[in-house]
Amino acid sequence: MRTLSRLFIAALFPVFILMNRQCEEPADGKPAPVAGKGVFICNEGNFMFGNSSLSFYRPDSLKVYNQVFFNANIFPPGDVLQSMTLLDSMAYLVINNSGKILVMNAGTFRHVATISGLGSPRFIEIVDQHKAYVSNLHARSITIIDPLSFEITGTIDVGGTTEQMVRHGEALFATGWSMNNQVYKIDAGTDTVIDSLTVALQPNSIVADRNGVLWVLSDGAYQGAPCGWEWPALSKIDPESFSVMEKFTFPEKNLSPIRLSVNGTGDTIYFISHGWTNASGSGSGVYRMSVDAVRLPEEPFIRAEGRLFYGLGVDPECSDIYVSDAMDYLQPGLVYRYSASGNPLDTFGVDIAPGSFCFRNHSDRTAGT
Amino acid sequence: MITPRLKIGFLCFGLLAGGRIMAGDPVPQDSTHHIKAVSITRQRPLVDYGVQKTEPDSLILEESLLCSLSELLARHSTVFIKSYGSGSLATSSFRGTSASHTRVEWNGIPLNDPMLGQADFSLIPVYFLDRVSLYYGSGSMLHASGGLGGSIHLSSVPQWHESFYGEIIQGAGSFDTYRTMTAFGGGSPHLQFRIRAIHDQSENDFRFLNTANGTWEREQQHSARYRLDGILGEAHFRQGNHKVAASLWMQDATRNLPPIMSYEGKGRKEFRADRQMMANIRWNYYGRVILSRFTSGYTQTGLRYFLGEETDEGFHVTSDSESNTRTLHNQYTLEAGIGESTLLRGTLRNSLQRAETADEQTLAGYSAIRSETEAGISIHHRFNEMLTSYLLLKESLAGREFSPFMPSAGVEFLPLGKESLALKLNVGKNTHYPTLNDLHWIPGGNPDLRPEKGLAMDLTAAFSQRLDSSVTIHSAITGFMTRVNDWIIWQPGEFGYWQAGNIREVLSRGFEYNLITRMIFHPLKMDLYGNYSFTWTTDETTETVGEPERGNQLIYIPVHKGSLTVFLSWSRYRFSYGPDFVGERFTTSAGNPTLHSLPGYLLHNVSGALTFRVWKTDGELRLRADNLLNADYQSVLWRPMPGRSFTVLLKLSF
Repeated sequence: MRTLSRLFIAALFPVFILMNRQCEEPADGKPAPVAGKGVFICNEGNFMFGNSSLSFYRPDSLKVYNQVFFNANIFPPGDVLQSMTLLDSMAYLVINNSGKILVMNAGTFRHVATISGLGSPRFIEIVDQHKAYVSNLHARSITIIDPLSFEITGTIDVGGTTEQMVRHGEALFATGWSMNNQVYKIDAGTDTVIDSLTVALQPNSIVADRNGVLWVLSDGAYQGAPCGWEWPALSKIDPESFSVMEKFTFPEKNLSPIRLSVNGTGDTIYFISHGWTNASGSGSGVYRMSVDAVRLPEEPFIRAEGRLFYGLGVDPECSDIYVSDAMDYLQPGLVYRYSASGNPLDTFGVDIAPGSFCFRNHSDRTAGT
Repeated sequence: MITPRLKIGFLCFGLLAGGRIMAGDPVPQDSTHHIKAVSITRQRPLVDYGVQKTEPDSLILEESLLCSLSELLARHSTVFIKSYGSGSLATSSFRGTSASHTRVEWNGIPLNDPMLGQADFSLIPVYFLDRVSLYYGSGSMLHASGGLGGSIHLSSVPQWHESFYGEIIQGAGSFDTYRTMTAFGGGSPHLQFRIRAIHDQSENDFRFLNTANGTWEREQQHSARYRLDGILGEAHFRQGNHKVAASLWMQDATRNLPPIMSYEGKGRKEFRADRQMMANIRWNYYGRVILSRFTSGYTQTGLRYFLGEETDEGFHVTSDSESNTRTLHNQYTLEAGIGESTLLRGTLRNSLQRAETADEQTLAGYSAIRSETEAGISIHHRFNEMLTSYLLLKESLAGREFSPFMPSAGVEFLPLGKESLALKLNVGKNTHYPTLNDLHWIPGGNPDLRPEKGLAMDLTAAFSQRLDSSVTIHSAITGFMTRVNDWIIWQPGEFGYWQAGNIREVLSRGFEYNLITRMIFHPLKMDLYGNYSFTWTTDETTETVGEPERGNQLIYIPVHKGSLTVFLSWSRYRFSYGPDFVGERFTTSAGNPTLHSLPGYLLHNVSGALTFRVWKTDGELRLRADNLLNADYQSVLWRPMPGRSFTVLLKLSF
């Protein structure tokens, strides 16, 4: 009987050892910075995985803090952290596939409130202290929220899906990206659509330059898309007459340009092209273009050289360029920081699918891209 | 009065899964029925020598009566099951490989979806299965190629000597879960019929701790309701040297898919509805020196997937797709004995697959037809009482593309000249063709994909020991190594949508341990089943993007997995207790053990059963508690699993 017992225990020993190993890994315990200039990086994560995260980078100390939201709150942002916008000390994290906006103290990263009950939110554009617009991937309307009371206060029937927005005077301009080809002009005072303008298919991003001229980048959709497939184009739009001043059509149909950005002085625009089609090709990279240029640039300003450029941001104060490498979208990505003249300044690791940047400047007056 | 059939039943009960009673070994006495000790020689088929194979025995199948195959495999095998929740999609990882690398066959016809390559184990009720056989690594090649991790074979076994029998089982449990199952059958020793039916439904509205939205409150799961209805009809005929069987299995399942824990949006509706029809006919001829098997089967599946969400203007449909597949499968196997010690075996298989899918919303879809043909020949030879081996040569053709040549071989060595100690070595090459979605999905399918190529090797040491007349121990430890080249994964590609590519080289290695023990201390009987697997599966791609990824454990594959089940039987009572353990799993390829890993979990399950007999009817009343300690855990990131649940089962049979 004793032999039997020994045999029995010996046979089960490895199983019990492993069963007792159940544990929960601690979170990364890096102290979070509380003030000063810095850059937030929205790591989208993988769709339906719920593994998005927020990183914070300090260019003065060259330090990066990953998963700052999770570390401060012990719960994750949610499923696809699409974008982030700042209003004074508050940060608004748009969690696309969780249908919510998380409000966070931008200094402590502590969760303040949740604006829930949204459809498929993409970007926020602050109108004033009590009004902000939220674009939507699926709804044909823009949601109006009060950024201080954290409530949904209304909607604007746009007539199509919406993506990025930019403010110019009393008007707000919103692109209609998903299966759309419209740019909408909205009166921010009356919350009504004044006009709409047809551009090339799938306008994904919009900026305003130093002259107040609008630039809209269209990726043209893709082969087999229900909305069709067009040549990608960059449209230069007069905001007053709301008409296309100039249309720069890309030389190939499958370039899929994205992430139109503008520098702090508003005289140069940037975008990523060839990023998915041919990441290792010589034409892949970040392109730079003067707002006074009469043709598209032919060579990339920063070559991808095998990297999968995914996110792009330009510091509104110093015009440093931040471009992310999503690697294979399954592992944490990298961010490359360049000077305005294109000199590499730093490289740091962030998290999965770093898609957008939000800059917190010394004055805490900021811009999100 | 104990009938011969009962005697045989009791003796078979003593044959622990994978264990053997050797010639000359006395049979242990049952606690309640005293039968005369006899000597039994159990001659394994020659084709089973040299391969690593396990079979959950009848006690396990009986205990898992209300479960799906996913729950049975999760608790009683080393196969890891990735489940999206109770009643939801459940796929397998066999020795660290992906879900499509597990070949699943029912009575000789494949159950793997031609579009996805995988089988959904939550849609396979254990009640419809009489035998479950797991072939590991290259040992699965003897039956079919494509199972780079292994294969699972499900089969029906007729009850030849029953003139009429039937049973009805009613289960009711937590979260408004109800299961009704019934079976009727009978016939003569030459002709048998049986019909089994199942109805399974649940609100599945368990409470869980939401750790994903900052509330830290227990919430009620919603939009997780599921329903399954199935019917299985079988006919078996035998005359002389011939056996003919036919089966028809029809099933309909609708499952709501709840959003992940962090969702706080306006409202979302997601569901899938599966329809399946599988039919096959088998004809076996047992000659003096030959065995001829012919199997022909047809499967038809339909899947509707719907995803939509509330907007200010009403409901927005993101996806509403309908996918249909039809597969015609034919297989012929001829075995010829050459003398006492040699067997020649040839197999020819063909599957004609047709798939159609269309999404009304995105307008994406495709239609494709593919023929897969496979031919193999093997020779099995017993050199002496100690040494048996086989050599298999196989080649397949998918469309117009021949697979790489697939040889495999196995050796089984019995150093003591009997099966109390067996050493088995297996090595072989295998090929897995891309699924139809991999090839044709719009957007992202890649018609230029190459087949995935596997090289598998394992070494097993199996011990069977009878310590005294009342204790039998069988244990086996297996070391394995599987290398897969041209592993297909989907990555974001052109225009931002995901594309299939032959990206990875994956190396999986580890070991598995299985233990089966039976002890009889009159009048108490104890059966103990345990298993443990250590699986280290890493990406070894040399030109991978991002060096940190290389050498990391693949996502959703636990390094450690183990379970233990103890049955105690006394007179009309039976009690079981079983802890299951699944170790930490990474959810990204970076192997970052912070936010990107799921902690391991340990579940405790208990059950108690009472058997009785009233009005010439055998009955059983069973109470089962799963996750007894109410552990909060997730199998897939941010998808909660049920806490403690109870099930009551009443079974009446005649």
